[in-house]
Amino acid sequence: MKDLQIWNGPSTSASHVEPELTRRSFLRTGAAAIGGMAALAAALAPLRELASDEMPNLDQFLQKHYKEMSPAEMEHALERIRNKVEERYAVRPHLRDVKPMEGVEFAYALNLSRCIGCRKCVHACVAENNQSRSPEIQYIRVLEMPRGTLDVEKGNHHYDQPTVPNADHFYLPVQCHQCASPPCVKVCPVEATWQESDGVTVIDYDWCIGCRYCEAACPYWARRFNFAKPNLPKDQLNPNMSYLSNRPREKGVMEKCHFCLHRTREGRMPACVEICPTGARKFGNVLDPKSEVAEILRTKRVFVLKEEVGTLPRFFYYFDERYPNTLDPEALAIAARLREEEGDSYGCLPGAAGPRRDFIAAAKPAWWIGENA
Amino acid sequence: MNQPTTFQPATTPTRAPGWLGWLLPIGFVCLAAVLFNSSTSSDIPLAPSRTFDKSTLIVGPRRVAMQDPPTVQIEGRPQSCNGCHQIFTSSHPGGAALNFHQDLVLHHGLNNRCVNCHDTADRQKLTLRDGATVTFAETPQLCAQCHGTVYRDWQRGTHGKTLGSWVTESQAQRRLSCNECHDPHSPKYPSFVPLPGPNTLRMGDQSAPVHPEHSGKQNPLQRGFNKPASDRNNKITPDGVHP
Amino acid sequence: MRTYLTFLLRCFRLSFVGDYRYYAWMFFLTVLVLFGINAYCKQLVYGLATTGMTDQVSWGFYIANFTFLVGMAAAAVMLVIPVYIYRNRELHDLVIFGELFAVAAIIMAMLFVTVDLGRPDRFHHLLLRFNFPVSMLTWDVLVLNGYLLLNLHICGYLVYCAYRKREPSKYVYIPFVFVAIVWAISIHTVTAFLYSGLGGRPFWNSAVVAPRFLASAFAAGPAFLILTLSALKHFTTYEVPAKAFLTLRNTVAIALSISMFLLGSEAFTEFYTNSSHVASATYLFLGLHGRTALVPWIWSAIALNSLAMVLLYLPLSRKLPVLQAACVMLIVGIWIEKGMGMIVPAFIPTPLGEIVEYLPTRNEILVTVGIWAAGLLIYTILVRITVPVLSGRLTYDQPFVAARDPALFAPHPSSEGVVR
Repeated sequence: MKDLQIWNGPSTSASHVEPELTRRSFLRTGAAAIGGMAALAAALAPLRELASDEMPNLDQFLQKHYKEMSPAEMEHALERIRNKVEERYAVRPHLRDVKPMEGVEFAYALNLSRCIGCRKCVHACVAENNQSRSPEIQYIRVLEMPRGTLDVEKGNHHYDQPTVPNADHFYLPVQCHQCASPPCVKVCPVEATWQESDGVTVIDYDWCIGCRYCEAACPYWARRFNFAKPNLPKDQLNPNMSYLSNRPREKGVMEKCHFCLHRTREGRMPACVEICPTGARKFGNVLDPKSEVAEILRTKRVFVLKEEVGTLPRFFYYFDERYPNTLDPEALAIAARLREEEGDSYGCLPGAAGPRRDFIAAAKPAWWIGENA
Repeated sequence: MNQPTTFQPATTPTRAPGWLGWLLPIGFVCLAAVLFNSSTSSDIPLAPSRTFDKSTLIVGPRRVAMQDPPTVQIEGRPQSCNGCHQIFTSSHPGGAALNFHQDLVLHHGLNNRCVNCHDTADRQKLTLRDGATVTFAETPQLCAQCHGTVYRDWQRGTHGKTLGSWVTESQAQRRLSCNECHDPHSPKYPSFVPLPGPNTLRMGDQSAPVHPEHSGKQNPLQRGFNKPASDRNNKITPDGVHP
Repeated sequence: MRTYLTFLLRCFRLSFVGDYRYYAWMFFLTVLVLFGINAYCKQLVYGLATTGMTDQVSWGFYIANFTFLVGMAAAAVMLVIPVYIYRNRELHDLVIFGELFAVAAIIMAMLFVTVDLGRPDRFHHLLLRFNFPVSMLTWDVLVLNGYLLLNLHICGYLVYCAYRKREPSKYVYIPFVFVAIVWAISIHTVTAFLYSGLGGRPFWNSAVVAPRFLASAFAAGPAFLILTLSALKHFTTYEVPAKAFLTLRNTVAIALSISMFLLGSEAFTEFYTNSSHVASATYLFLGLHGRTALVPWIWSAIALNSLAMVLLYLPLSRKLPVLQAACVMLIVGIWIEKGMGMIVPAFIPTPLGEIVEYLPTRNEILVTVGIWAAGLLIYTILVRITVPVLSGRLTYDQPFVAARDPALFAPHPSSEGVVR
């Protein structure tokens, strides 16, 4: 400690003279050290605002990766989570670890001719999956697209007119496509996200370190990050939970659509499919040839978004035979003129008051029910 | 080429006054005070989700289909159809204004005669084109006569709604019939009030509509009547373009 | 062993010795570091929402600075090449300052990654399940830590040998020097591959990202070295030969020219093709749908870089003040172009076409400034230790008091510096 003092100018004597340790210099140095400690303590002061359930916890620290946990360790982790949820929300959740069904690979199909852009899927998903309400996290994003393009840059995320569907637009909902070649799984440095045997790409919320590399890698903007502590009102908690899907997350971890695996792995439908009023959303086991999605993939002209990126999504879009009716005045005017001139119900547009046509009792076609083998 | 700058000996610093050393602890203590008193609030603009009527999220058929046998509410009491129709004759088999059933709106395109679907002999049945009748529980067969392709898709599950389970053989799976979504008299699917759009953290002002950049080249798609609303400077009528 | 511990203890004590200017500088940096710690504690409590980052723009200021600093660290090797490959003895001592700078820059880069994590308490998960070799982030972890250890070994060994007045053994450090040359290129290439491998981000998904990174790093790094050597020259009596400045000046000029050429090449490919992939570049250079937040930044960066490049090619920049001005300009220009001009536009518009702009918050800036101050603090201390040791004033056989002598900053009259 002898020479810990402020430089006092060139020493006039030989360099090996010991400087004098005065009381003043000792006090000065001590005061500086104590002042420094005080400043450091004050700098760390905000940590006192940490909530008790956010403090580092030895159990969580030692918890293993999902794939390495034994059933006993998983039960221990589930118990810890149940207690935490009960403490925070005053509801004892039905939390379990649901495994994939054998012989099942999920696929999702969305009929763009039927989606009317009502956003019920967005909010049903939020009600089912215990996302943060503030800041808002929604897994599904519905784009209002102008006719004739699939360039999402031309889409409008924030449409807000009095009624939907809007003329000359179609609606393109996007959520995690659970890609078969997922870029998010490739880039995760700690393997906190992976794809399971039934095709769902899952996240171990207790393993994620929050680096957000997966969010940068996803071509569909499907992943969400908890930038703040999730704010979920107690009365909106869904107590039917599973470890890999909708149990309440903490700040600093990623989350995304997981095809409601706590429901679908038990045979029920995802919340978005169930709520869709027009039946535009179809879900099922693509390995079952009689399922709706297998039928769609066989018979409809399905396509995927951003196919050129090579992600192999299991979320397919298609347009049906009939396009949504248009309310475009110019289109209606042209159709009306053609009807008058040609005497035909050109295009079968609404309000067509064309000439009556008596139905002809034709021979029964082969598809007539009751006669099909 | 310039000569490298020659080395100049640095001037030794002048002797600092002793009291200067006290600035350090004083500075630290002031800093501690500032840090301790700095706001502990977060200043995060939390941007909550917008509220909406939660009853819109109830799962189930959009409308209640007519049961079999069909009944109608007349003056608060359910009446069977034949109760009136076997006594009274209908005013007009065509599409004239109805004295009763005035809550019905008939807007079914070319299918604008009641007797196209309703059996004239027995109002509790529906009639097919060849004269055969079906019950009200077999309504899809009636729709299938004209909407064959849609019916084919509906049978396979690619049109319309399935509730309950994705497992094909499951008892819980239920397919909604045609008239649980479509009003048979005015089947066009109604417009909905959209639920609130996203309001994510720090998303900024998103109210400005997205206009495609005008590159000076006309997109062939947008010739004719297929133009975005904002571009309708010229009125296109069936006779041509008018400025 | 005991001598080594004494050496470390003396290094610790030496960091607290200096004149009032030294104390003022260190106090200033400490204040900034404490503000940074305070801001980071707020971030730990409230989450990353205290920054300006969103789901739409999920990487921002922290990763921008990280990218820039990895480049700076890589550039220390630009001094190593002339000395060890071209056997330029005069610049020999300065290699150590370059490598010490690399150490400080790598530490800063690693601090930036740490503050960007949502769950830094789960750092150990990297050790338990490491997605190597598929995830480029794991490559980054390995090469950055390896580079840090390499440089610490080389500098530590050379400085300790000077302290012990021993001739350093070639076999203990020369192989590592050559490894460090290759490794330096790899750290920045791996960082570039982090970005260029993502198909969902067309702005990054280009082969030119890695060469651009290297070129701009090899311009900004030696420029920073020029500035630190000027500081050494000004504040200590350590002699920095003019040849050092001129060699570095040549390196900077060429690297900056290549960097600007690659920027032009990127701009041409994007704008001439004019596909929908050009949206991010349009946002950066021209603004997109009326959103123009980054446009003034990138054009200032281009102006600064161009002016610096012109200056560096003129004989005028042989004068130290002009050279310093050019270095400051190009460091700022490259910091903008590589940091905010590279990271943020890739997120605007989002892969679904939404435009949400990004601006760092006050908290984010405080943390950033705190980390920069910490890095400068570390570098100052390292230089504060190294200069007396290399000039022979602090050795194992002299009492510690000798280290305080003012003439200490001048080279010992009996040697040209002990290190060979």
